[in-house]
Amino acid sequence: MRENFQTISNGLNRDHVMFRLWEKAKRLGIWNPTDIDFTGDIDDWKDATDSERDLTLHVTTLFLSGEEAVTLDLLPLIGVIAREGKLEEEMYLTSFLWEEAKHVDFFRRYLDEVMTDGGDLSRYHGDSYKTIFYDELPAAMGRLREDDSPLAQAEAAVTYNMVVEGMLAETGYHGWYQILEQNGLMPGMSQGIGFVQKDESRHLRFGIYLLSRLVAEYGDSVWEAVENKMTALFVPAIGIINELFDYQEALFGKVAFDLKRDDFVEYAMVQFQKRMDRIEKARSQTVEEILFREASDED
Amino acid sequence: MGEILFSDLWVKGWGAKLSASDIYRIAASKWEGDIVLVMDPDIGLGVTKRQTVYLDLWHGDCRDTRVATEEDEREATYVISASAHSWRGILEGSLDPIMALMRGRLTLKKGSLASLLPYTSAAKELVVAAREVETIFPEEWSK
Repeated sequence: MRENFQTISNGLNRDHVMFRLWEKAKRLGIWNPTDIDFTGDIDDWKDATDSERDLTLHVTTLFLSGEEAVTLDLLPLIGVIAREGKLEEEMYLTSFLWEEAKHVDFFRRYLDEVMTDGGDLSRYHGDSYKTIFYDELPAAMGRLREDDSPLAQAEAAVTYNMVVEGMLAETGYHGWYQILEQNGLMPGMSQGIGFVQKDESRHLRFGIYLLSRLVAEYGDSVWEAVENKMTALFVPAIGIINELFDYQEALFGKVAFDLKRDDFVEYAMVQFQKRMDRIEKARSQTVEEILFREASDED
Repeated sequence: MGEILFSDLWVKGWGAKLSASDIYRIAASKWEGDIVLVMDPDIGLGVTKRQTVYLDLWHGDCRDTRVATEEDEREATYVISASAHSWRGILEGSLDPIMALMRGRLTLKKGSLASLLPYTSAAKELVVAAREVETIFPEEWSK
């Protein structure tokens, strides 16, 4: 039974940090994957060496299946937020899911129109990748259908936002974008990843916000759950980076584009540290301070 | 009685605990590389100067230990540094060593992070063994 309507009793809180993020999503999240021109990418693909093609196919496969996973697994979290009546948060989350779906659209279109590999791409899914994307992510998110406790929400947000988006997607997109830009390659992929990165930065901001709110509201039990889940997922998360490099080295003796695995791992660690520092600050903040954080204090 | 933290006898005691640990031997069976651990000074915690210890770790064995020399620091595969406050947290059990590394409380000064991180189980067992060493901590640690 519904007892009241926020919008007609109190209106929308346009100062809420999530409403401000919704405003940004409306302005910035409107790119269309179908509009991106892949003509230059098709030429680059023809000219690429075997190892460059394999690496490009490998990372594109990881990006695509990762985006499919986060698209399919997000709904239970939106359900929790809706059941709790957090309207401004749910309004932002509508853009979140739409953007994830566009990322799937973009990477699949790239595979269909630029690459010519017809094999089973799941060969690029190593043990660590399977741990995170086949087991941990659907389990943490699916749990929310029956358990919407603060601890379950925190563990879901750690898995989805901090590990999958914060450590893996952001690091992968950042590293791959740098390689494409430095080498002047695959302009369509580069442009699309640029859009994806901007979307993902908002998704991460939501994750940090949600975890901060939970820590501020429920205290150390949530903070400890955040730390424990991060510690448990850290090894398979870093393992995914190592698997990609190991695969290339085993096949070609070295990694295409002279990629360095430590560059990726160190970037992931630095980003992770900044976010954990940010969430830890919430231990001494009120929920009101989290909800109405100044724009200048955001990431 | 025990041995003074980060002293030569203390690190030798640590090495003996590692050699006696079947769990460490299994966890570190693929570990290759010697390591120097650095404790930065903290007057408030009674650590008046920078202290270093060296452990030569190889496939689950602890082949040698000593107070680290400058050459050890130059030649070791890994050099890991932390404040006295962080070492205290790790040795007392309030700070998980993996989380400490992830949060930057333990800093890898030398070596490849990507090659070190897969050995988190070995790192945890290293710390378990260190906690078993009967240790004389600075008086300030108990205040």
